[in-house]
Amino acid sequence: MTGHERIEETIAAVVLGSLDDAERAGAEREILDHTTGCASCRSLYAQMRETAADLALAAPARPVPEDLERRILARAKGIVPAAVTPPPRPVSKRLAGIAAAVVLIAVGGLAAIAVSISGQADRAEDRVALMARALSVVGQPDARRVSLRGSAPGTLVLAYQPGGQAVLIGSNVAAPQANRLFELWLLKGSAATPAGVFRPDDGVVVLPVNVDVGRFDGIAVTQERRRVAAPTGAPVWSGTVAP
Amino acid sequence: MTDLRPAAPIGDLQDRRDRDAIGRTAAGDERAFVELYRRYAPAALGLAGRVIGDRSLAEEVLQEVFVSVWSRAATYDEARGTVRSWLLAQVHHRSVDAVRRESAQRRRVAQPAHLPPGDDPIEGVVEDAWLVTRRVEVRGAMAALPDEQREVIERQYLDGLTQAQVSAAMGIPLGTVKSRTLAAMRRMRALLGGTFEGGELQEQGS
Repeated sequence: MTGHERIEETIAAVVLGSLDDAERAGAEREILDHTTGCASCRSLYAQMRETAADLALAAPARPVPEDLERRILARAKGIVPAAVTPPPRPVSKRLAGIAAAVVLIAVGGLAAIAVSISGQADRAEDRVALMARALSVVGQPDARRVSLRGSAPGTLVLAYQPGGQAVLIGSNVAAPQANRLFELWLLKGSAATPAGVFRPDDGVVVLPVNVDVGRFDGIAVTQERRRVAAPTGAPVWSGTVAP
Repeated sequence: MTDLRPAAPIGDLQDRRDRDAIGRTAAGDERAFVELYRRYAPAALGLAGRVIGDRSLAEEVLQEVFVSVWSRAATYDEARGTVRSWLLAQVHHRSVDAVRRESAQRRRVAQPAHLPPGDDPIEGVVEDAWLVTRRVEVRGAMAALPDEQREVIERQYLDGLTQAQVSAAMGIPLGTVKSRTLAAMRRMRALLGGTFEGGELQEQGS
């Protein structure tokens, strides 16, 4: 077997996703090192990625439920960004410091943020960068905040810019029960609009909310098994949006 | 061996259309995003469903991937490959993660050739003609593989097994799994050709 053959086998395994996490990191490094100097393997890697995409078509297509499209579009339009995932330890210490220092925060110019609840594909550096962006606007004169009151310990504040974007910030927020998450709702009259799900990481919550909070009159947080379209129980936190 | 290669220009056109759509998506164009979503969601859901074997987890993967496509459209790099492979690789990666995380292998029942239809009142699957044609070609290429090559590919890519697991399941050495896998991928490549040549895109007529 030539040296190339071994790399080619590694390339095939990587594009098929058939290495476990530990092996995969080493394999990707190995491929990167090798392909830096080897155009044919670089080309093979690219071609094999396309072949893997062809293999995807070996699975039968499935009809997609209509409501799924609506939900995805709603999130994509910035109504429901996803949760903050627990970052590795050093990052969370930084977040704790930032969250504790927050008083008035307004977030401007945030593109729709999607941080996957599974977390596998997201890098810690990206999450820190997102959080830094979310908290970067300081001292906006028109920023408002709503303190949420709850039966559980901790501080939860929704800071927002009227007509602009918002962020839910928390420190020392108690974790939900096992296999539960928190879901944020914006209330108008009796209607509850879902605005994101989260779990505190070491008590810290930073959830960008791309909704005009000023249009609503209340905020609530419930505990749910998974993201739902309507609250299934009484709020564990709530607050009033001043007119 | 039958040459199953499709007429290349059609694939090129598809790729160009996708690149245009992802570019517009990165600029915040919702219609472009919807275009990509409608084109690839049935394939994405089909792949996730096949790998994970759980409909609701597959739908979650679909959501996560497309929300990520929306927010990270600007990270697509056309030098690395087609939009299609970029997107489906994310679906596959998250699906395999879900399988390994949830030990869904335990819940998986024997996969029939076609998954039963969902309980939603949807007539059937609407896909681009190119994708429908490509599926036929891919099925043909898979059928043309020697049985032992097809099996290692299916177990890895469609069942989400690691090579070590395939080795154990089939009772063959890991080295054999690796070499069969490479041979299978080379043969699929030869049978199907592709719209993306090497590390650079080949434009029609350039």
